[in-house]
Parts: sequence; C-alpha cells; structure tokens
Amino acid sequence: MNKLTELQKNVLNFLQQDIPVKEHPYAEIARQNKVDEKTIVNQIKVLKKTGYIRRFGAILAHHKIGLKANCMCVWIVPESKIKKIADRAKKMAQISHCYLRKTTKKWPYNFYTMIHGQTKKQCIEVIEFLAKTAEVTDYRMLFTEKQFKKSSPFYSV
Amino acid sequence: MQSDFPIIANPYQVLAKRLGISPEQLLSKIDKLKQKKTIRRIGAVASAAHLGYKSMLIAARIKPEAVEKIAEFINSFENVTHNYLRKAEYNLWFTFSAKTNKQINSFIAQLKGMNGVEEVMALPATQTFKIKAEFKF
Repeated sequence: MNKLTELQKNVLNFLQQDIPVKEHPYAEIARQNKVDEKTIVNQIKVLKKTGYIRRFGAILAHHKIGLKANCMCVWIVPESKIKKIADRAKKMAQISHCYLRKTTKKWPYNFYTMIHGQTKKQCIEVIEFLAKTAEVTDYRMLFTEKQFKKSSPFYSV
Repeated sequence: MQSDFPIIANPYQVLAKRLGISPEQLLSKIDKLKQKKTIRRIGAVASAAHLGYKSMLIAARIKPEAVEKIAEFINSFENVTHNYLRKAEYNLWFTFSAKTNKQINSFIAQLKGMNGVEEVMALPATQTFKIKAEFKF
C-alpha cells in the first residue's frame, strides 16, 4: 500500500483536487517536483494502470445534467439470487452503485442499488424492471429527499 | 471528458481537436461549465481500497427537528463525502471514510451521544459489484 514514491504521492494528492484548466495543466506540479511534464504524465499512467486512480477526467454534478431523481433501493435478496440480480444491475446504465452489505436485526436489507433518473417515475421503472427480471419481490425505494453533502473524497497520501 | 480524458501534457489541445474547436474555445466552455457547477471538478477519483481507506455507509434515525443541526455536524467531517435525507425510519444516510475501524467507531460513538440522535447503524459492504460515476445524458 505504501509502495508509492514521494512523487507518486504528490501526484495523487494533486490530482484529487481540481486540476487547472490551462493548456498545460501539469506544468506547475512538474515545476514543484523538479521534473518535466512528461514524468508527471507517466506517473499518472502508472497510477491509473495499478488501480490507485479509479477514474480520471471531468466529474459532473448529476442533478445539473437533468438527473434530478436519485434513489437508493434496498433489497432482501436470498443467497441463491444474488448473482442473478447483481449481474443484471451491473448491466443497467441507470444504476451507478451496487453492493452487498451487512444486515442488522432491524434492517434485513442486504443488497443495495443506487439509481439515477430524470424523474422518480424513471427510477421506479428501472427498479420494477430489475425486480421482475431478477425475480426479487422484497425491496424498498429510498429516494433522496435532500442532499446535505456531496463532494469528492480526498484520500490524503 | 468524463471517461476518455487524454493522459498527456496538453489534454485540452487533444480534446479540442477531437471536438473540432480551438483550444481557447474549449477552455472557455469548460470554465463556463465549472462556473455553472455542471462540472464539479476535473481530476482523479482515487481508489479508497488501494490507499488503505475503508468507506462505511451509516444510517441514522434522527428526530425531525434535529436533522438540520445533526447533518451540519456530520458534514463538518472531511471523512464524510455524501450525506442525504431519505424517507425511512432511518432518515439520514451518509458515508464515512477512514483508515481504521477505530476512527469510524469513535465517530459513531460521538454521534450517538448527541441530542436528537435516536439510533445509528453501520452497514459495511461485504461485496462491491459496481461503482460507476459516469453519466450519459
């Protein structure tokens, strides 16, 4: 985990912020680290290839691009159907996140999907379609009523 | 720009060429989209797991009159990136990332001690099938 070089750590901390909108966005970080831009670019490639960078590019606000309805749907999925529903959920463009989570006595839901749509109706259609095709009947839709916080994570290295 | 951002010293020149506009035009369009907050930022999403961070989904049952205040307290932690109000017996849902379970547990203990907080549950992921943050529109 800590196999990163000092330069790689600096690059990763830099990239988790907002890179400058300039023709040469890495000129400054290169100068600070006393290397050339090409070295920075190569380190970014390495970090991406090794999985330290999951995604690289523009990060959009989904409510600004018309995806105003956001729903966390929680499901009770029996062990035997997990693979089936997960495979289907993975293929659906409207579903961004999909996890299996620990349950509690009061909260028996083990399968979680995040669904984004232009309207609530669209989200409901996606969920009903998934429920039908995966043959799972026990689920609850928890729409986002209010967004208190949504920011990019910053993992300091 | 969401999924195929060129990794090169002059990415905007390459993108402008792809779009058939000048680099100046592209930079000014991007500036506008950032001002409008359509583009939140341009950069990397690091892998929490690769860097030794655990991300915990936490759900809390908060008295309605205390929700705003508690949400504000939760938001004050850098570790919290998402925090939503949802219609359910657990009305506040958020994520807390930290390097150790100890940090997560001590945060939860602190939250439980606050006025208006009736119940807190941690829901660790046992398997991740999909994390995608690109949107088609």
